[in-house]
Amino acid sequence: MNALSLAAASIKSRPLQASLCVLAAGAGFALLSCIFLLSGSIETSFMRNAEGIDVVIGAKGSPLQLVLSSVYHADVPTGNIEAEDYEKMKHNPKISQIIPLALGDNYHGFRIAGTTPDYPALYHATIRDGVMFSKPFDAVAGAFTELKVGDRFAGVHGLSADSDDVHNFHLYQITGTMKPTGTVLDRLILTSVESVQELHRHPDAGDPDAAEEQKIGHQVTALLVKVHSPIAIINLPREINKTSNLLAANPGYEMTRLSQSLGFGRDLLTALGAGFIALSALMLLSSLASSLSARRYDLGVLRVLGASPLTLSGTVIAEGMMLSAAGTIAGIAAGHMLAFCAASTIASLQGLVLPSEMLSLTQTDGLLLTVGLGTGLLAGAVPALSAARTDIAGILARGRA
Amino acid sequence: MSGILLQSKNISVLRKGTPPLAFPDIRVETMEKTLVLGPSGSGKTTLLSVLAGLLKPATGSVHFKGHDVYTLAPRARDHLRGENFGFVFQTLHLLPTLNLRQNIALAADMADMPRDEKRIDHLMTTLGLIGKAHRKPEALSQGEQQRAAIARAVLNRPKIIMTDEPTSALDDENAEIVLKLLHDQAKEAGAALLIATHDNRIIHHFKHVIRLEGRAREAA
Repeated sequence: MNALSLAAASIKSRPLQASLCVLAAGAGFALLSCIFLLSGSIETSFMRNAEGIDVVIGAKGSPLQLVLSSVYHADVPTGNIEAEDYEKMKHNPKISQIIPLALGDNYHGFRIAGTTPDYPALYHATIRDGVMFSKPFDAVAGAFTELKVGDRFAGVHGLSADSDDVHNFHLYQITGTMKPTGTVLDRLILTSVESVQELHRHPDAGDPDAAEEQKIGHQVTALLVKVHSPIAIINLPREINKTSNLLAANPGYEMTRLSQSLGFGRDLLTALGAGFIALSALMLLSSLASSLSARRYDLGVLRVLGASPLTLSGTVIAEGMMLSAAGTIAGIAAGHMLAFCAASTIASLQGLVLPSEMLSLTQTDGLLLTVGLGTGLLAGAVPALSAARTDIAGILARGRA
Repeated sequence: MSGILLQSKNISVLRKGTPPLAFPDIRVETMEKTLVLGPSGSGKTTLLSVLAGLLKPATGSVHFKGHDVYTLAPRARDHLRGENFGFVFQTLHLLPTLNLRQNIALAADMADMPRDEKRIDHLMTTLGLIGKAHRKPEALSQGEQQRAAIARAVLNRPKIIMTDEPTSALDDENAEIVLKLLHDQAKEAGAALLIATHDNRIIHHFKHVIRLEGRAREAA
């Protein structure tokens, strides 16, 4: 028997108290782990999706809505802009690359984006099967769409899967599928801008929105822009917003603002998780102190048998650290599972967070484990000191309580 | 094989709220059987603690095999105790979280000595504990617990076995059985036996008797 096995035996003899300590620590660490995983992954995803996009240009409205709808495909677009505006922007000297997006249709909830092959190239997407779209009504499917090369389907007007406004004029045909990228691309179906425009130029007979749809046939939804110089990131939106009826927004700026707004909720949950951990530390301290007071006689016996004060302290500290390590490891595992379930089931997280990423260990897990072990060490320190100072002669003289 | 094993001189102990306790000089020879007799509160357990290096006296010295116990470094004193002293306490003191075998093995483990599993088996067989190795103390009878405590005390083949009131709570018949057990095990281990008790019934078993008076003597 050494300090570890004595600590394990002591824990085994108090299953309820030990379970409560593990549970409290586990709850705190599960919450923290889940928050860190999701927020970290969302932030990474925000950055990954906005990579290479300096400015977004679209119809007047909310700049955040424009960024969310055209960069993250997470909101409805602010409207459409005329194809001539797109042509004009192509000749703006501040712009080095411009990628059009024509949105407005979906297939089973997956948005159909009319664009150019530059768009998947922006995310370094590679083809898994087949080839990139080249002719009208060719389409390339993102990794999560479950479409296969050769599949044919009709687009549905709107961004909702339950819309019954089917574009029967022409079917799309899948010519290629993409490998997963961990970006919004995984949940998109890409085709040419012309395909989307052509489809809307031929609305179904009797469609009450026929006039509106025909207008879309000459429009695009947004332009993703890369500029020549860093200063243009600030100047270009200012210039466009001042001199045209278009809206230009900086994705970085808008997402920082969004992150600050959401940050309050995240901070609140983080504080809650930290509160759980503090509570678990107090429970651990109280459990160790009460266990120590019940075992003082046993510790006296160990000293009589030759154990050093260090061995007694080690037994108490080992007990604290074993309990807190169990709680931390269980909490981290539960946090990963929670984050995996959230990423798999919460619709607004899909496309932002890859569920499989939630199951991989991260540096934060190491940090949480260190915090957990540190908590056990701190909670055990006071009772351990008291154990080392056990008055053996006094205890032996008094007898077991 | 005789010689001085344990010797104390001019020991007195300061205890909170009571006058200093002074103890008579003690001298225990190798394999000698000694009885420390005194009424309750006379300081018998305190004396055993001082002799075992667990409680530093205010005055005087304790020598074990020629070593001044209280000049040794604390860790060396712990080692000396673990290797050379066996204890049987008044209230048995088996750890409730460990099973019988683990409780016996603790003596070797805490003294940093290798576990002699064969000796543990031998002791358990001799003391009628075989078959109960995995039982927790709460599942053992008082007699079995006492025998387990004796097995733990003799496991390391100590040079001296100290016991505190081993027979006080027993009837005459069982007191004789326990005493014989202690004598036999001490003999087998080659150990001296030092029993502290207020139980006058066992005095006839000892040639060497040290008497403690009342609440010991107030130190001069």
